Amino acid sequence: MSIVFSLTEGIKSMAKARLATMLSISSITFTIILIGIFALFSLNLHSWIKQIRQKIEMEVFLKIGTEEKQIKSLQTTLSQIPGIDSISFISKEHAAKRFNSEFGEDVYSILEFNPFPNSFRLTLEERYQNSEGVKKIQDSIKNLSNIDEIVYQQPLLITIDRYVNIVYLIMLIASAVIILIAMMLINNTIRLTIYARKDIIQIMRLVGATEGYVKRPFIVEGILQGFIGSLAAMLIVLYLNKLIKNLFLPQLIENYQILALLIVFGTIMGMVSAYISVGKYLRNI
Amino acid sequence: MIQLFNVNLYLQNKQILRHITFKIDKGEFVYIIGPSGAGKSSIIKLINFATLPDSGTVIVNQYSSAKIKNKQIPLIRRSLGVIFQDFKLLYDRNVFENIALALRVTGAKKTDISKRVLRVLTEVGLSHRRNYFPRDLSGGEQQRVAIARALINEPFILLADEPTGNLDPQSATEIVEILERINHRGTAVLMATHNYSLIKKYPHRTLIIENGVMQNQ
Repeated sequence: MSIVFSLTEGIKSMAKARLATMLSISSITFTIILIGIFALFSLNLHSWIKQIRQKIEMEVFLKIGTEEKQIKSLQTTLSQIPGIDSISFISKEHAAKRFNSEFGEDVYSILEFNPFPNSFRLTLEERYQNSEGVKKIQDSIKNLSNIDEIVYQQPLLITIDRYVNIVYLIMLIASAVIILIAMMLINNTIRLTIYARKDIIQIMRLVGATEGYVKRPFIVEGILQGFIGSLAAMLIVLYLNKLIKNLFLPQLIENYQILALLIVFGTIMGMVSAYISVGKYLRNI
Repeated sequence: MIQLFNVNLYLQNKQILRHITFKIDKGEFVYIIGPSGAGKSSIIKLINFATLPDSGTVIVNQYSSAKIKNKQIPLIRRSLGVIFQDFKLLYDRNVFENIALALRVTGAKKTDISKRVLRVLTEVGLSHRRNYFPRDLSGGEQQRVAIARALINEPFILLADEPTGNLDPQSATEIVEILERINHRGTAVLMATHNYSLIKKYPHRTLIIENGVMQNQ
Protein backbone atom coordinates (compact mmCIF):
# COMPACT_ATOMS: atom_id res chain seq x y z
CA MET A 1 0.00 0.00 0.00
CA SER A 2 2.72 2.35 1.06
CA ILE A 3 4.79 1.33 -1.98
CA VAL A 4 1.88 2.05 -4.33
CA PHE A 5 1.41 5.41 -2.64
CA SER A 6 5.13 6.25 -2.90
CA LEU A 7 5.19 5.20 -6.55
CA THR A 8 2.07 7.21 -7.45
CA GLU A 9 3.32 10.24 -5.58
CA GLY A 10 6.79 9.86 -7.13
CA ILE A 11 5.31 9.85 -10.63
CA LYS A 12 3.03 12.80 -9.78
CA SER A 13 6.07 14.62 -8.46
CA MET A 14 7.98 14.05 -11.71
CA ALA A 15 5.00 15.20 -13.75
CA LYS A 16 4.71 18.35 -11.65
CA ALA A 17 8.31 19.45 -12.31
CA ARG A 18 8.44 18.18 -15.89
CA LEU A 19 11.22 20.39 -17.19
CA ALA A 20 13.56 19.76 -14.27
CA THR A 21 12.79 16.04 -14.47
CA MET A 22 13.63 15.97 -18.18
CA LEU A 23 16.89 17.80 -17.50
CA SER A 24 17.74 15.43 -14.72
CA ILE A 25 16.94 12.29 -16.76
CA SER A 26 18.92 13.68 -19.72
CA SER A 27 21.91 14.31 -17.49
CA ILE A 28 21.73 10.74 -16.17
CA THR A 29 21.50 9.45 -19.74
CA PHE A 30 24.51 11.52 -20.77
CA THR A 31 26.50 10.41 -17.72
CA ILE A 32 25.71 6.75 -18.17
CA ILE A 33 26.50 6.91 -21.91
CA LEU A 34 29.95 8.28 -21.09
CA ILE A 35 30.49 5.74 -18.33
CA GLY A 36 29.29 2.99 -20.67
CA ILE A 37 31.69 4.13 -23.37
CA PHE A 38 34.55 4.32 -20.84
CA ALA A 39 33.70 0.85 -19.52
CA LEU A 40 33.54 -0.75 -22.95
CA PHE A 41 36.67 1.12 -24.06
CA SER A 42 38.51 -0.13 -20.94
CA LEU A 43 37.31 -3.65 -21.57
CA ASN A 44 38.51 -3.59 -25.17
CA LEU A 45 41.78 -1.91 -24.21
CA HIS A 46 42.34 -4.49 -21.50
CA SER A 47 41.69 -7.35 -23.93
CA TRP A 48 43.93 -5.81 -26.60
CA ILE A 49 46.78 -5.26 -24.14
CA LYS A 50 46.36 -8.79 -22.83
CA GLN A 51 46.80 -10.09 -26.36
CA ILE A 52 49.97 -7.99 -26.78
CA ARG A 53 51.35 -9.18 -23.46
CA GLN A 54 50.64 -12.80 -24.35
CA LYS A 55 52.84 -12.36 -27.42
CA ILE A 56 55.77 -11.14 -25.37
CA GLU A 57 58.59 -13.66 -25.40
CA MET A 58 62.12 -13.68 -23.98
CA GLU A 59 64.95 -15.05 -26.05
CA VAL A 60 67.90 -16.29 -24.00
CA PHE A 61 71.03 -16.64 -26.13
CA LEU A 62 73.70 -19.08 -25.01
CA LYS A 63 77.43 -18.60 -25.25
CA ILE A 64 79.07 -20.10 -28.32
CA GLY A 65 80.52 -23.46 -27.46
CA THR A 66 78.03 -24.42 -24.75
CA GLU A 67 77.90 -28.16 -24.69
CA GLU A 68 74.77 -30.28 -25.01
CA LYS A 69 75.00 -31.53 -21.43
CA GLN A 70 75.25 -27.93 -20.19
CA ILE A 71 72.29 -26.96 -22.40
CA LYS A 72 70.16 -29.73 -20.85
CA SER A 73 71.14 -28.70 -17.34
CA LEU A 74 70.33 -25.06 -18.17
CA GLN A 75 66.89 -26.07 -19.51
CA THR A 76 66.19 -27.88 -16.22
CA THR A 77 67.26 -24.80 -14.24
CA LEU A 78 65.09 -22.51 -16.39
CA SER A 79 62.07 -24.75 -15.95
CA GLN A 80 62.32 -24.26 -12.18
CA ILE A 81 62.27 -20.44 -12.35
CA PRO A 82 58.82 -19.09 -11.36
CA GLY A 83 56.92 -17.19 -14.07
CA ILE A 84 58.21 -19.13 -17.04
CA ASP A 85 55.33 -20.78 -18.83
CA SER A 86 57.07 -22.67 -21.63
CA ILE A 87 60.64 -23.18 -22.84
CA SER A 88 61.56 -24.11 -26.39
CA PHE A 89 65.12 -24.73 -27.49
CA ILE A 90 66.23 -23.07 -30.74
CA SER A 91 69.38 -24.75 -31.98
CA LYS A 92 71.94 -22.78 -34.03
CA GLU A 93 70.92 -24.88 -37.08
CA HIS A 94 67.29 -23.99 -36.56
CA ALA A 95 68.25 -20.33 -36.20
CA ALA A 96 70.12 -20.52 -39.52
CA LYS A 97 67.05 -22.02 -41.19
CA ARG A 98 64.92 -19.30 -39.73
CA PHE A 99 67.30 -16.67 -41.10
CA ASN A 100 67.02 -18.35 -44.45
CA SER A 101 63.23 -18.32 -44.42
CA GLU A 102 63.08 -14.71 -43.12
CA PHE A 103 65.69 -13.17 -45.42
CA GLY A 104 65.76 -15.64 -48.32
CA GLU A 105 69.52 -16.10 -48.11
CA ASP A 106 71.63 -18.95 -46.82
CA VAL A 107 73.91 -17.78 -44.00
CA TYR A 108 76.63 -20.24 -45.15
CA SER A 109 76.79 -18.60 -48.57
CA ILE A 110 77.42 -15.22 -46.88
CA LEU A 111 79.74 -16.13 -44.03
CA GLU A 112 80.80 -19.72 -44.71
CA PHE A 113 79.95 -20.58 -41.10
CA ASN A 114 76.89 -20.47 -38.83
CA PRO A 115 77.23 -17.42 -36.54
CA PHE A 116 73.97 -17.97 -34.67
CA PRO A 117 74.15 -19.11 -31.06
CA ASN A 118 71.87 -21.68 -29.51
CA SER A 119 68.98 -20.09 -27.63
CA PHE A 120 65.91 -20.71 -25.51
CA ARG A 121 62.62 -19.00 -26.30
CA LEU A 122 60.53 -18.45 -23.18
CA THR A 123 56.86 -17.60 -22.88
CA LEU A 124 55.71 -16.15 -19.57
CA GLU A 125 52.87 -16.74 -17.16
CA GLU A 126 50.12 -14.05 -17.26
CA ARG A 127 51.13 -12.30 -14.04
CA TYR A 128 54.71 -11.94 -15.29
CA GLN A 129 53.64 -10.39 -18.60
CA ASN A 130 54.64 -6.89 -17.52
CA SER A 131 57.88 -4.97 -17.29
CA GLU A 132 58.33 -5.74 -13.61
CA GLY A 133 57.70 -9.49 -14.06
CA VAL A 134 59.99 -9.69 -17.05
CA LYS A 135 62.71 -7.88 -15.07
CA LYS A 136 62.38 -10.43 -12.25
CA ILE A 137 62.80 -13.34 -14.64
CA GLN A 138 65.66 -11.60 -16.37
CA ASP A 139 67.40 -11.12 -13.00
CA SER A 140 66.97 -14.81 -12.20
CA ILE A 141 68.47 -15.86 -15.53
CA LYS A 142 71.23 -13.39 -16.29
CA ASN A 143 73.76 -14.75 -13.80
CA LEU A 144 73.35 -18.39 -14.80
CA SER A 145 76.41 -19.86 -16.50
CA ASN A 146 76.64 -19.99 -20.30
CA ILE A 147 74.13 -17.18 -20.78
CA ASP A 148 75.28 -14.64 -23.33
CA GLU A 149 72.31 -12.28 -23.76
CA ILE A 150 68.63 -11.95 -22.92
CA VAL A 151 66.44 -10.17 -25.45
CA TYR A 152 62.79 -9.08 -25.12
CA GLN A 153 60.57 -6.18 -26.18
CA GLN A 154 61.39 -4.00 -23.19
CA PRO A 155 60.35 -0.59 -24.63
CA LEU A 156 56.90 -1.90 -25.61
CA LEU A 157 56.29 -3.29 -22.13
CA ILE A 158 57.39 -0.07 -20.45
CA THR A 159 55.15 1.97 -22.76
CA ILE A 160 52.14 -0.22 -22.07
CA ASP A 161 52.65 -0.20 -18.31
CA ARG A 162 53.17 3.54 -18.19
CA TYR A 163 50.37 4.78 -20.47
CA VAL A 164 47.63 2.27 -19.74
CA ASN A 165 47.45 3.29 -16.12
CA ILE A 166 47.33 6.97 -17.14
CA VAL A 167 44.44 6.25 -19.54
CA TYR A 168 42.54 4.37 -16.81
CA LEU A 169 43.19 7.17 -14.32
CA ILE A 170 41.94 9.85 -16.73
CA MET A 171 38.77 7.85 -17.38
CA LEU A 172 38.25 7.31 -13.67
CA ILE A 173 38.59 11.04 -12.90
CA ALA A 174 36.36 12.00 -15.85
CA SER A 175 33.72 9.49 -14.64
CA ALA A 176 33.85 10.88 -11.10
CA VAL A 177 33.40 14.45 -12.39
CA ILE A 178 30.43 13.66 -14.62
CA ILE A 179 28.80 11.52 -11.92
CA LEU A 180 29.13 14.48 -9.57
CA ILE A 181 27.55 16.83 -12.13
CA ALA A 182 24.67 14.41 -12.74
CA MET A 183 24.12 14.05 -8.99
CA MET A 184 24.02 17.83 -8.63
CA LEU A 185 21.36 18.02 -11.36
CA ILE A 186 19.27 15.29 -9.71
CA ASN A 187 19.72 17.12 -6.42
CA ASN A 188 18.39 20.28 -8.02
CA THR A 189 15.38 18.47 -9.50
CA ILE A 190 14.48 16.93 -6.17
CA ARG A 191 14.83 20.35 -4.52
CA LEU A 192 12.42 21.84 -7.06
CA THR A 193 9.89 19.04 -6.63
CA ILE A 194 10.12 19.30 -2.85
CA TYR A 195 9.27 23.00 -3.00
CA ALA A 196 6.59 22.38 -5.65
CA ARG A 197 5.00 19.84 -3.29
CA LYS A 198 5.46 21.60 0.00
CA ASP A 199 1.69 21.64 0.64
CA ILE A 200 1.35 17.88 0.61
CA ILE A 201 4.52 17.52 2.70
CA GLN A 202 3.09 19.86 5.35
CA ILE A 203 -0.28 18.10 5.30
CA MET A 204 1.26 14.63 5.51
CA ARG A 205 3.23 15.73 8.56
CA LEU A 206 0.11 17.33 10.04
CA VAL A 207 -1.85 14.09 9.82
CA GLY A 208 0.95 12.03 11.34
CA ALA A 209 3.10 10.73 8.49
CA THR A 210 6.52 9.57 9.59
CA GLU A 211 9.53 11.31 8.00
CA GLY A 212 10.34 8.06 6.17
CA TYR A 213 6.87 8.07 4.64
CA VAL A 214 7.25 11.69 3.56
CA LYS A 215 10.67 11.02 2.05
CA ARG A 216 9.81 7.83 0.17
CA PRO A 217 8.04 9.37 -2.87
CA PHE A 218 11.10 11.55 -3.52
CA ILE A 219 13.44 8.58 -3.24
CA VAL A 220 11.15 6.72 -5.66
CA GLU A 221 11.35 9.73 -7.95
CA GLY A 222 15.17 9.56 -7.88
CA ILE A 223 15.09 5.81 -8.56
CA LEU A 224 12.71 6.29 -11.49
CA GLN A 225 14.82 9.09 -12.93
CA GLY A 226 17.94 6.94 -12.59
CA PHE A 227 16.26 3.91 -14.14
CA ILE A 228 14.72 5.75 -17.11
CA GLY A 229 17.91 7.74 -17.75
CA SER A 230 20.19 4.73 -17.60
CA LEU A 231 17.86 2.51 -19.63
CA ALA A 232 17.96 5.09 -22.42
CA ALA A 233 21.75 5.33 -22.05
CA MET A 234 22.15 1.56 -22.19
CA LEU A 235 20.18 1.37 -25.43
CA ILE A 236 22.23 4.18 -26.97
CA VAL A 237 25.55 2.56 -25.92
CA LEU A 238 24.36 -0.80 -27.26
CA TYR A 239 23.44 0.80 -30.59
CA LEU A 240 26.76 2.69 -30.80
CA ASN A 241 28.69 -0.46 -29.97
CA LYS A 242 26.95 -2.42 -32.72
CA LEU A 243 27.39 0.43 -35.18
CA ILE A 244 31.14 0.77 -34.56
CA LYS A 245 31.58 -3.00 -34.60
CA ASN A 246 29.81 -3.34 -37.93
CA LEU A 247 31.41 -0.35 -39.58
CA PHE A 248 34.99 -0.17 -38.33
CA LEU A 249 36.04 -2.65 -35.66
CA PRO A 250 34.66 -6.17 -36.04
CA GLN A 251 36.85 -7.36 -33.15
CA LEU A 252 35.08 -4.95 -30.72
CA ILE A 253 33.79 -6.78 -27.64
CA GLU A 254 30.08 -6.59 -26.78
CA ASN A 255 29.47 -7.15 -23.10
CA TYR A 256 25.85 -7.39 -22.02
CA GLN A 257 26.78 -7.74 -18.36
CA ILE A 258 28.39 -4.30 -18.42
CA LEU A 259 25.34 -2.89 -20.21
CA ALA A 260 23.04 -4.35 -17.54
CA LEU A 261 25.34 -2.99 -14.84
CA LEU A 262 24.91 0.50 -16.34
CA ILE A 263 21.19 0.35 -15.49
CA VAL A 264 21.91 -0.84 -11.96
CA PHE A 265 24.51 1.89 -11.55
CA GLY A 266 22.25 4.65 -12.93
CA THR A 267 19.36 3.56 -10.71
CA ILE A 268 21.54 3.51 -7.61
CA MET A 269 22.96 6.90 -8.57
CA GLY A 270 19.41 8.31 -8.81
CA MET A 271 18.47 6.83 -5.47
CA VAL A 272 21.57 8.03 -3.63
CA SER A 273 21.37 11.59 -4.92
CA ALA A 274 17.64 11.75 -4.10
CA TYR A 275 18.34 10.43 -0.62
CA ILE A 276 20.98 13.09 -0.02
CA SER A 277 18.87 15.99 -1.34
CA VAL A 278 15.68 14.90 0.44
CA GLY A 279 17.53 14.83 3.75
CA LYS A 280 18.88 18.30 3.01
CA TYR A 281 15.77 20.10 1.74
CA LEU A 282 12.90 18.52 3.68
CA ARG A 283 14.23 20.13 6.84
CA ASN A 284 13.29 23.56 5.44
CA ILE A 285 9.64 22.66 4.77
CA MET B 1 -4.97 15.10 28.97
CA ILE B 2 -3.36 18.32 27.70
CA GLN B 3 -1.34 20.47 30.02
CA LEU B 4 0.90 23.48 29.47
CA PHE B 5 3.02 24.39 32.43
CA ASN B 6 4.87 27.71 32.60
CA VAL B 7 5.55 27.68 28.85
CA ASN B 8 7.73 30.33 27.23
CA LEU B 9 8.24 30.51 23.49
CA TYR B 10 10.50 32.73 21.41
CA LEU B 11 10.47 33.16 17.64
CA GLN B 12 13.38 35.04 16.05
CA ASN B 13 14.39 36.47 19.42
CA LYS B 14 10.88 37.77 20.07
CA GLN B 15 8.95 36.35 23.01
CA ILE B 16 5.64 34.98 21.69
CA LEU B 17 4.33 33.25 24.84
CA ARG B 18 5.05 34.11 28.48
CA HIS B 19 4.54 31.73 31.40
CA ILE B 20 1.50 30.03 29.88
CA THR B 21 -0.15 27.47 32.15
CA PHE B 22 -3.48 25.75 31.50
CA LYS B 23 -5.06 22.34 31.24
CA ILE B 24 -7.74 20.81 29.02
CA ASP B 25 -9.63 17.81 30.34
CA LYS B 26 -11.04 14.90 28.44
CA GLY B 27 -14.07 15.84 26.32
CA GLU B 28 -13.87 19.56 27.19
CA PHE B 29 -14.68 22.41 24.76
CA VAL B 30 -12.33 25.36 25.27
CA TYR B 31 -11.95 28.64 23.39
CA ILE B 32 -8.75 30.62 23.20
CA ILE B 33 -9.50 34.20 22.31
CA GLY B 34 -7.35 37.20 21.72
CA PRO B 35 -6.33 39.63 18.98
CA SER B 36 -4.27 38.58 15.95
CA GLY B 37 -0.66 37.88 16.89
CA ALA B 38 -1.55 37.28 20.53
CA GLY B 39 -0.11 33.76 20.41
CA LYS B 40 -3.21 31.61 19.84
CA SER B 41 -1.77 29.73 16.84
CA SER B 42 1.51 29.21 18.69
CA ILE B 43 -0.35 27.38 21.44
CA ILE B 44 -1.93 25.07 18.85
CA LYS B 45 1.50 24.47 17.30
CA LEU B 46 2.90 23.60 20.72
CA ILE B 47 0.14 21.05 21.37
CA ASN B 48 0.69 19.59 17.90
CA PHE B 49 4.46 19.46 18.59
CA ALA B 50 5.05 21.51 15.43
CA THR B 51 7.19 23.62 17.73
CA LEU B 52 8.74 22.95 21.13
CA PRO B 53 8.74 25.41 24.05
CA ASP B 54 11.95 27.24 24.96
CA SER B 55 11.10 26.61 28.59
CA GLY B 56 8.23 25.01 30.47
CA THR B 57 6.49 21.81 29.54
CA VAL B 58 3.74 20.75 27.16
CA ILE B 59 2.11 17.44 28.02
CA VAL B 60 -0.18 15.67 25.57
CA ASN B 61 -1.47 12.39 26.98
CA GLN B 62 1.62 10.43 28.02
CA TYR B 63 4.02 12.54 25.94
CA SER B 64 5.98 15.43 27.37
CA SER B 65 7.83 18.07 25.36
CA ALA B 66 10.75 17.59 27.74
CA LYS B 67 11.30 14.00 26.70
CA ILE B 68 9.67 13.66 23.30
CA LYS B 69 11.65 11.96 20.53
CA ASN B 70 11.30 13.02 16.89
CA LYS B 71 9.96 9.63 15.84
CA GLN B 72 7.15 9.85 18.45
CA ILE B 73 5.76 13.11 17.03
CA PRO B 74 3.89 11.49 14.06
CA LEU B 75 2.24 9.08 16.52
CA ILE B 76 0.94 11.94 18.68
CA ARG B 77 -0.33 13.78 15.63
CA ARG B 78 -2.43 10.76 14.63
CA SER B 79 -4.34 11.20 17.87
CA LEU B 80 -4.91 14.93 17.30
CA GLY B 81 -7.10 16.53 14.66
CA VAL B 82 -6.14 19.99 13.40
CA ILE B 83 -8.05 22.43 11.20
CA PHE B 84 -6.99 25.87 10.02
CA GLN B 85 -8.47 29.10 8.76
CA ASP B 86 -7.07 28.39 5.26
CA PHE B 87 -8.32 24.75 5.26
CA LYS B 88 -4.96 23.36 4.05
CA LEU B 89 -6.53 21.07 1.47
CA LEU B 90 -4.75 19.66 -1.57
CA TYR B 91 -6.30 21.24 -4.65
CA ASP B 92 -5.00 18.64 -7.09
CA ARG B 93 -7.04 15.80 -5.56
CA ASN B 94 -10.69 15.33 -4.78
CA VAL B 95 -12.48 15.39 -1.43
CA PHE B 96 -12.21 11.61 -0.97
CA GLU B 97 -8.46 11.62 -1.67
CA ASN B 98 -7.87 14.59 0.64
CA ILE B 99 -9.39 12.70 3.52
CA ALA B 100 -7.98 9.30 2.57
CA LEU B 101 -4.45 10.74 2.72
CA ALA B 102 -4.69 11.01 6.50
CA LEU B 103 -5.44 7.28 6.68
CA ARG B 104 -2.92 6.26 4.04
CA VAL B 105 -0.03 7.74 6.00
CA THR B 106 -0.96 5.49 8.90
CA GLY B 107 -0.79 2.41 6.66
CA ALA B 108 -4.56 1.69 6.78
CA LYS B 109 -6.00 -0.97 4.44
CA LYS B 110 -7.65 0.11 1.19
CA THR B 111 -11.05 -1.41 2.05
CA ASP B 112 -10.92 0.18 5.47
CA ILE B 113 -10.07 3.56 3.96
CA SER B 114 -13.18 3.70 1.73
CA LYS B 115 -15.51 2.78 4.59
CA ARG B 116 -14.05 5.22 7.06
CA VAL B 117 -13.84 8.12 4.59
CA LEU B 118 -17.49 7.70 3.63
CA ARG B 119 -18.52 7.50 7.27
CA VAL B 120 -16.72 10.69 8.23
CA LEU B 121 -17.97 12.48 5.09
CA THR B 122 -21.51 11.56 6.10
CA GLU B 123 -20.84 13.01 9.54
CA VAL B 124 -20.01 16.40 8.02
CA GLY B 125 -22.81 16.13 5.43
CA LEU B 126 -20.59 15.89 2.34
CA SER B 127 -20.79 12.27 1.20
CA HIS B 128 -22.46 13.43 -2.04
CA ARG B 129 -19.49 15.71 -2.74
CA ARG B 130 -16.77 13.05 -2.36
CA ASN B 131 -15.65 13.30 -6.01
CA TYR B 132 -15.57 17.09 -6.07
CA PHE B 133 -12.33 19.01 -6.09
CA PRO B 134 -11.88 21.58 -3.30
CA ARG B 135 -12.02 24.52 -5.74
CA ASP B 136 -15.60 23.46 -6.66
CA LEU B 137 -16.74 23.74 -3.03
CA SER B 138 -17.74 26.77 -0.96
CA GLY B 139 -15.50 27.92 1.91
CA GLY B 140 -17.83 26.31 4.47
CA GLU B 141 -17.77 23.02 2.58
CA GLN B 142 -13.98 23.12 2.32
CA GLN B 143 -13.74 23.58 6.07
CA ARG B 144 -16.07 20.60 6.53
CA VAL B 145 -13.71 18.53 4.37
CA ALA B 146 -10.85 19.67 6.60
CA ILE B 147 -12.88 18.66 9.67
CA ALA B 148 -13.61 15.27 8.11
CA ARG B 149 -9.87 14.79 7.51
CA ALA B 150 -9.12 15.81 11.10
CA LEU B 151 -11.69 13.32 12.42
CA ILE B 152 -10.75 10.35 10.27
CA ASN B 153 -8.23 8.98 12.78
CA GLU B 154 -10.72 9.45 15.66
CA PRO B 155 -8.67 12.00 17.59
CA PHE B 156 -9.21 12.63 21.28
CA ILE B 157 -9.03 16.38 20.64
CA LEU B 158 -9.73 18.63 17.68
CA LEU B 159 -7.50 21.72 17.50
CA ALA B 160 -9.19 24.44 15.47
CA ASP B 161 -7.08 27.47 14.56
CA GLU B 162 -9.48 30.27 13.55
CA PRO B 163 -11.69 27.77 11.68
CA THR B 164 -14.34 30.40 10.87
CA GLY B 165 -11.94 33.20 9.96
CA ASN B 166 -12.54 32.90 6.20
CA LEU B 167 -16.24 32.10 6.34
CA ASP B 168 -19.48 34.03 6.13
CA PRO B 169 -21.57 34.13 9.36
CA GLN B 170 -23.89 31.32 8.33
CA SER B 171 -21.07 28.96 7.32
CA ALA B 172 -19.22 29.90 10.52
CA THR B 173 -22.25 28.92 12.58
CA GLU B 174 -22.53 25.62 10.71
CA ILE B 175 -18.88 24.85 11.43
CA VAL B 176 -19.24 25.58 15.15
CA GLU B 177 -22.37 23.41 15.24
CA ILE B 178 -20.39 20.55 13.72
CA LEU B 179 -17.67 21.10 16.35
CA GLU B 180 -20.37 21.07 19.07
CA ARG B 181 -21.70 17.78 17.73
CA ILE B 182 -18.22 16.28 17.70
CA ASN B 183 -17.69 17.49 21.26
CA HIS B 184 -20.98 15.95 22.43
CA ARG B 185 -19.72 12.61 21.20
CA GLY B 186 -16.73 12.91 23.53
CA THR B 187 -13.98 14.55 21.47
CA ALA B 188 -12.40 17.54 23.17
CA VAL B 189 -12.22 20.78 21.13
CA LEU B 190 -9.76 23.62 21.47
CA MET B 191 -10.79 26.48 19.23
CA ALA B 192 -8.72 29.62 18.70
CA THR B 193 -10.94 32.44 17.51
CA HIS B 194 -11.70 36.12 17.75
CA ASN B 195 -15.33 35.68 16.72
CA TYR B 196 -16.96 36.79 19.98
CA SER B 197 -20.53 36.43 18.72
CA LEU B 198 -20.00 32.70 18.23
CA ILE B 199 -18.63 32.39 21.76
CA LYS B 200 -21.73 34.12 23.09
CA LYS B 201 -23.99 31.81 21.10
CA TYR B 202 -22.12 28.62 22.08
CA PRO B 203 -20.54 29.39 25.44
CA HIS B 204 -17.69 27.28 26.86
CA ARG B 205 -14.64 27.83 29.05
CA THR B 206 -12.68 30.63 27.45
CA LEU B 207 -8.96 31.35 27.77
CA ILE B 208 -7.98 34.92 27.00
CA ILE B 209 -4.52 35.65 25.65
CA GLU B 210 -2.97 39.03 24.97
CA ASN B 211 0.62 39.75 23.91
CA GLY B 212 1.57 36.19 24.73
CA VAL B 213 0.21 36.37 28.27
CA MET B 214 -2.75 34.33 29.49
CA GLN B 215 -5.13 36.72 31.24
CA ASN B 216 -7.24 34.20 33.15
CA GLN B 217 -5.07 31.15 33.75
